[in-house]
Amino acid sequence: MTLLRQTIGTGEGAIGAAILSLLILIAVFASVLCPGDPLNIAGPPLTPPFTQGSLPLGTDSLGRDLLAGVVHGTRTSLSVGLAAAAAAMAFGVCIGLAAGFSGGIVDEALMRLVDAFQIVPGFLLALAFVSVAGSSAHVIVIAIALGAWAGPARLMRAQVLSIREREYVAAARVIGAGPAEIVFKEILPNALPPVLSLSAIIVAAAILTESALSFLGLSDPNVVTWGSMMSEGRNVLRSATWLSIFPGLALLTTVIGIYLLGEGVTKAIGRGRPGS
Amino acid sequence: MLLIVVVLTFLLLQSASGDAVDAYLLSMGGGDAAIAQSLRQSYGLDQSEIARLWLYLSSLARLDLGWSVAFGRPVADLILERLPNTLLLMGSATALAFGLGTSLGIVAGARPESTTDKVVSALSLILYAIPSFWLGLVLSIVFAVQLRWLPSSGIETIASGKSGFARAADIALHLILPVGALGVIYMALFLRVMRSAMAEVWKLDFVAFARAKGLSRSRIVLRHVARNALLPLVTMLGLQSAAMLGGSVVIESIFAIPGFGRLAQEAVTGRDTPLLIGIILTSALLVVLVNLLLDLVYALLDPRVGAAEEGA
Repeated sequence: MTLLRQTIGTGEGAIGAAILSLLILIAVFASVLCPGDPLNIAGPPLTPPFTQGSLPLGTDSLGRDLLAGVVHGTRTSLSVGLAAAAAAMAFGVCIGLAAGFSGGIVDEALMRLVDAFQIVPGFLLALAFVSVAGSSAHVIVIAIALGAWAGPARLMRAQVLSIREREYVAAARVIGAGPAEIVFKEILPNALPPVLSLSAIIVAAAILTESALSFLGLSDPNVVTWGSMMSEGRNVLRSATWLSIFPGLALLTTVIGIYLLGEGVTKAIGRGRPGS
Repeated sequence: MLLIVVVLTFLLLQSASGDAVDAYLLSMGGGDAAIAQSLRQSYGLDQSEIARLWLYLSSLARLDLGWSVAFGRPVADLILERLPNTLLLMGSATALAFGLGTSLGIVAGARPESTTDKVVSALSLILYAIPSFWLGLVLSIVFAVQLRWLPSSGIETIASGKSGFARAADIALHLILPVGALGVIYMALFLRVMRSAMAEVWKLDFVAFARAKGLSRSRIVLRHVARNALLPLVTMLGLQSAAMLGGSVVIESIFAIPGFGRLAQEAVTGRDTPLLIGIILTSALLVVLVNLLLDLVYALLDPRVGAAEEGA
């Protein structure tokens, strides 16, 4: 709680938190703000923005309300981004913990696996995975997580390696704590914070990957996403530029909000430490 | 390590429901089961997964990447044909990002916490958050659609008959927008890393010593602080090369550049497993090569690296 207060105390943290809270509210209350299916036809096609009160951002080439699309797209972007980042973090932390704590051949094998995933471009991997497994929401989450878990795993392993030699771990071993107890009570809580500080970057990257995938047409066709809206807007780029501009601005705002919050948290942690 | 990549992607892609033959027949408007069966047999798709994996690995050992069903050509030919365009795109984007990023980073990091620093940092945060494909769209709206200054698609004017210098100029003109769209994000990233690395170096003792020697400020900034701050940037460059390769997929799709990334997208739509594995393998190889090259650069920049290895 104090960390939250300290984060908001920094300028970046306050702006980032404000942007993100607003976006989360929009995502949660999307059906209240813009009731009905955003894929339904709401007015004449290609209505320019700011011309009709009921359709403030205009309509796309099929006459669908752009504002409803952007609002409902917030829900998709945030949920997919957060879920993929959470999956990547959880998997990465488990692998890193296992590699660092076991050592020896397990460590060696797991780290080669991490290497393999780090040299393959994550986006290509996600592209291949979605093309193989279909484009439902949970497949996209797994596809994005596939390309993002290696970083946290590597950092987690490094953390575990440095912590397992500390004196308090040795002390726990001396008083007869089992391996599970040492891992979950002594090592995990102390190794986790630096790894968690990666989460802002990973969430932002996951949201960007999701929209890039849906921009290339690899998303659930029954769900509105900012990427698919931009990709549809691209076909009428010459006559209706606003169709690609607004979803892009929404994406940009989201990512900036996440980065700012991340910077705020980093600053707050830095201030909390004595001597820095 | 590359072997792990091959085996993993192979197994991943084999778990697919529906293969290249399905996609191929679908594109022809369907066909009967007998044709599908004979096609599968001729591509070896009727054998067990392990048998196919072994077959693939043994042909890979002879540098044979297999046959692309969707294009009807050897995978290696396709990749070699498309790779130069992507390397050109990535190389130029990296040059732009690295050049501008470090110079702006030096400007910002020369006086930490000054107004210039704050303005440049805020700007870089916004640039860093821009999705590259959206930037690509906006750039082509402004410069290709509205102003009509630059071409919006392709790598060169088709059938222009240009050669030599005129052709190079033509390609360069076509590359301005995609390179800008791809490079700006990395420029912002390098700028931020450079700035924070410089802020760290300022605190070190040898900087205080250089100051005590009475060296001029610009000499301290350039020769002492910036030079040492470049090291983490080189590491960063290697880590980002994989991400940049992924980013070029979308950029090539927007600007219709016949490159490696577009090939990946076409392989995905055509369910072309051999091509997709070949692409993933090549990109992994490329990333490894880039990192190897950067290790050499690192040793040049930081003599301690080479010395430590000789001592060990």
